[in-house]
Amino acid sequence: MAVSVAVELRQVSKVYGSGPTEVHALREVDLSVRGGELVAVMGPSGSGKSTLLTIAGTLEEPTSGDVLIAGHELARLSRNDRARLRRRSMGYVFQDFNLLAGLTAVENVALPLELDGVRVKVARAAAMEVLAKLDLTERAARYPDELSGGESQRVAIARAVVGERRLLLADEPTGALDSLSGETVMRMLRHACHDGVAGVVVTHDAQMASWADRVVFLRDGRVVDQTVPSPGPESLLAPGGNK
Amino acid sequence: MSRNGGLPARRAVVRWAWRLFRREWRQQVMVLTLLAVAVTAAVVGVSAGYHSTPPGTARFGAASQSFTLYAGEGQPLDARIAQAREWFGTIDVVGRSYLPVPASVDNVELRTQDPHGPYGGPMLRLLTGRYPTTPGEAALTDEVAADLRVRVGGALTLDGRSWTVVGLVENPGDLGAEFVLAAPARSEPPESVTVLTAADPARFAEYRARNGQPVYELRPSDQWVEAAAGVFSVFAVSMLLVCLIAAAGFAVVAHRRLRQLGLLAAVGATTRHLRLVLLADGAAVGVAASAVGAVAGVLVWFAVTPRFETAAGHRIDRLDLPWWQIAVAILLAILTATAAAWRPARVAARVPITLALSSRPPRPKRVRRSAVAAGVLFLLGVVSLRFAQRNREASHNELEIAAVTLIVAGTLAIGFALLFVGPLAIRVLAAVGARLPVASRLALRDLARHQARSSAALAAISVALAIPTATVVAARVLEQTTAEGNLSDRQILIWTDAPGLRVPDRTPAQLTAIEAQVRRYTATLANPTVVPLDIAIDPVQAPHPDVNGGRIGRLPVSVGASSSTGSETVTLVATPELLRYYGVDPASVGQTTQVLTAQPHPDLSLLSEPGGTARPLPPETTDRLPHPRFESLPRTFLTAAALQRHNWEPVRTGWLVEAPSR
Amino acid sequence: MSIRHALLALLSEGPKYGLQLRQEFESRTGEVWPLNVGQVYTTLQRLERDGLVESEGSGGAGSHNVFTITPTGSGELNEWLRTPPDVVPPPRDELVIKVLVAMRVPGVDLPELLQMHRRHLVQAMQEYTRLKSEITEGEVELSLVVDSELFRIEAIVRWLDTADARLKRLPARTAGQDPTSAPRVGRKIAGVWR
Repeated sequence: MAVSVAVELRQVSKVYGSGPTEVHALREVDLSVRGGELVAVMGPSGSGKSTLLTIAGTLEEPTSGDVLIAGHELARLSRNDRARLRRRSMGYVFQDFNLLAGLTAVENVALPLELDGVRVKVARAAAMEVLAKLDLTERAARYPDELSGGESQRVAIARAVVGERRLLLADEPTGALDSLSGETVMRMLRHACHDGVAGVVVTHDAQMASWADRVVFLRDGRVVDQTVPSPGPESLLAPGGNK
Repeated sequence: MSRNGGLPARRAVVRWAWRLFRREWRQQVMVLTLLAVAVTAAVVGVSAGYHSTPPGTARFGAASQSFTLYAGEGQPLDARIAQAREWFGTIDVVGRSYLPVPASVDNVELRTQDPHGPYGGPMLRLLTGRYPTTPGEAALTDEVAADLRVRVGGALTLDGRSWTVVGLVENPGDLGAEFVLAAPARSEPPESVTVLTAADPARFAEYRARNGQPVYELRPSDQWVEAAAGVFSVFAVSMLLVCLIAAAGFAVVAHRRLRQLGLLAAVGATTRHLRLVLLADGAAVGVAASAVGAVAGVLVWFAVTPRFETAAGHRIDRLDLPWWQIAVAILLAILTATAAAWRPARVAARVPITLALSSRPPRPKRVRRSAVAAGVLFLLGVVSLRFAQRNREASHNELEIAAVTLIVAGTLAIGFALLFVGPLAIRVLAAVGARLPVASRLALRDLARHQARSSAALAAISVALAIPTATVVAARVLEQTTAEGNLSDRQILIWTDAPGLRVPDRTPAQLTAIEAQVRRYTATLANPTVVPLDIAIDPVQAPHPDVNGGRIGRLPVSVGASSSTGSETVTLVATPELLRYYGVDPASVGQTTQVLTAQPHPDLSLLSEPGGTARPLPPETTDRLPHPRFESLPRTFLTAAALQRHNWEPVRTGWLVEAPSR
Repeated sequence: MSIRHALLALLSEGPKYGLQLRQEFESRTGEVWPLNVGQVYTTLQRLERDGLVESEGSGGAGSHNVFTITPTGSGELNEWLRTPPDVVPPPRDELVIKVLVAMRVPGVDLPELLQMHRRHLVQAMQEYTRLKSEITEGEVELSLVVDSELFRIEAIVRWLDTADARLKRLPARTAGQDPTSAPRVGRKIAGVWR
């Protein structure tokens, strides 16, 4: 069980500031995501969904509670260990400006591998393979400023899944895209997850969230609700519920 | 695979930094220009320093030693030259005679030299015409030609000899050397010859020992180092300034790239990698700036070489540049840029990733201690400067290293105090600025909000101010009052022959004429003290020309420490008048005392003509002379007893004149 | 959805059997809008009565009759395509009424109620999205229909979000203090006089 759970948050709280300016971004949040599962975190602005993502992504430390990623307890890891975890086991997709200017698409995708010590040629080959899967082969040599918004996000996803990633974290990945490009990006995220990666998408867009296997609702730093996995598409035809 | 990605990771990070630099170098154009200009200046300066000292070729050509043989000393010159040639194998011989110039007190040097000799070639350069080949031909330097009013093709007659002028020549290593160049001729032997050799030092020494210790010179090495080192130290200080300014520039760059750095961290870069990005950027700026600067510097040097030749007094090979010093300057520039990037890199790498991703640097911590530190440093600076001054008042004359250290330390302390007070000053300014119009208010507020940038700029300004301030303060502290220095404002020393030079024979009539001149001058003063000054010469010595051939005469006897060279001082004959002027009763000087000196030294010797033996002075023959108040007043005297003992003769060399105090 | 016009649209491609019409209609949108046989034939009869289509064959509205669109029918279809959809007057939306009512019923946790509806709606969207993810690129019509449903539900979700935020900002109302809406009659909004 512990192996298949890619990320687990236990009673995680996060408080910013202190005294009168204290802000409780997260309050005792429990969340676990299995490999192969795409979870969307929905909530209004300020509900703590981005904080949830940065904590799950080791970019921030919780004020209290435990975070386990691929079985590693984050609190026990050093700065460098966490950096290694980021480049080996997880991938990030942000709303925009995901790619490093000055590096081509394929170089951007190969970056986590190179940072991990993989030789340039090997890393490039792996990156090309992922780009090919995402139908981006002919964009590989382009620089970020020569790519459209949707293409950039797709390259970012390629970077997030290159190598043997276990966890894919996306913060409003479609926020800056039109709905069809957004749909393509969500399709890819979902596809990547069904290949065995655990995904967490933070969004306030219900359409994008509906691509997830499970939607978790966050409100004022608390998980207030989540959708139950549906029995199947035939329920659409049942009366009520959707009309 | 190493823990933090090892070489592939670093290579990827540096590659990115390099791409960013290529894309965004325009954002750093100020720092680039600054560094490039500094490097340009350094290249030109170092080259100028390198060429400011006369090159060894001026006097040695391609040789490494030279010695001079005089005619009329023992064997004939030809025989000795032949012997030297046999001893050394290859030698080059430059013959010198001095011919009187009609209607002038000057001599002109007649040089006989083979322009294609094995060593002497670099000492000559043909400007027009050709080199003389037969005994009846001569070439001149430009000034000789002008003074004697002859041209190429004309006839030159000097001292009863005549030549056809076939060309104009110069010594490219010494444009100030003026001579008549003739082909070596057996019929007219020169007064002296300089033999150029490139022998093993031991063999050269052996030759000298066997052949009566002729006057010799060794080719100086690395004379230029001093000048170049001076330029270099200025460059190093200016690099410190550039470093501070550049640090401000890099802080801006780091701030601009904060988001990208956050992204890199999110992708899994370690803090070290993040730092490397900015350090690599700094290095790239350094490399680019120094490449541009070095090329510009070399081009500027090419452009100014012709002018510089005139100033330096020798021809300069444009491509003969101090390459390794230039390389060091370039290296220093790269290091400076990298060092300047260090702090911004460290700061940027430590920004929490989430803040970096949102391009929001954390609020800088306020430096509260800075004001206290500034106060303490300022106090220290003032105290040490004050102490230096008091120290100096107490023991006038000697400028001890301690005093200099105090001055430097004090100035530095005040400079750093300025640095520390910077943030406080900025905050005060910002507070005051709240009432100003929008534009200036914004400027001041920006200054206060982005202290990383503003404090570096402030530091640069502070250091730039501290350097001239230090110079002024030090100069003020070291300034001499009328009560100290080389001579008082009522004294004057008049020399007929500058101390240390050969003293020519003068007829009594000439001496009387000179004295009359001096008396005429002193007569304009009311009731002056005029003390004649004599030196001692050894009448047995024959008058010789000096190394440059200018003056023919004898060297005065001097007293010096035999253990160290160059410590000889002017040694005067202790006439009763002089002794009285120094407050010494002539009768009190013992009969065995040979030397009176204010600078007692355990092993003093009497030195006369070079090559002559130094005569050690037993300590009991020296006596103490009271220390004169001024540095240029003579401090060592030979007594009448010493002159008598060695059969030396006093020769008038000057007068000490003192006007009565008002 | 007007079945009338959908059938006219199908017939504008050419004469078709009644059975064929039903199959084609269902194949394009049937998974979202299921249709029974009766509806098709009733509609066809009405179209024939109005002179918009003609049938030939055994007569009546049998499944083996071939239906052809008349010029009047083509005119009607073209005119309908250009008529703005019926957005006004506003429907009495059930969810809106539920929320308005809930505000007056004591003891109801409004945010919880809104969240419950939100969850239901998002679950429905998940189901549509799953359907969409299985649609091939050729099935444009179905994609369009699914999209329209998704946007419609999303609009409700967004209304819930806004309601949530609006209610959160609202100071706690004391009973009896019931600010009434000022009457805004005699004004034309979106083409309808109030």
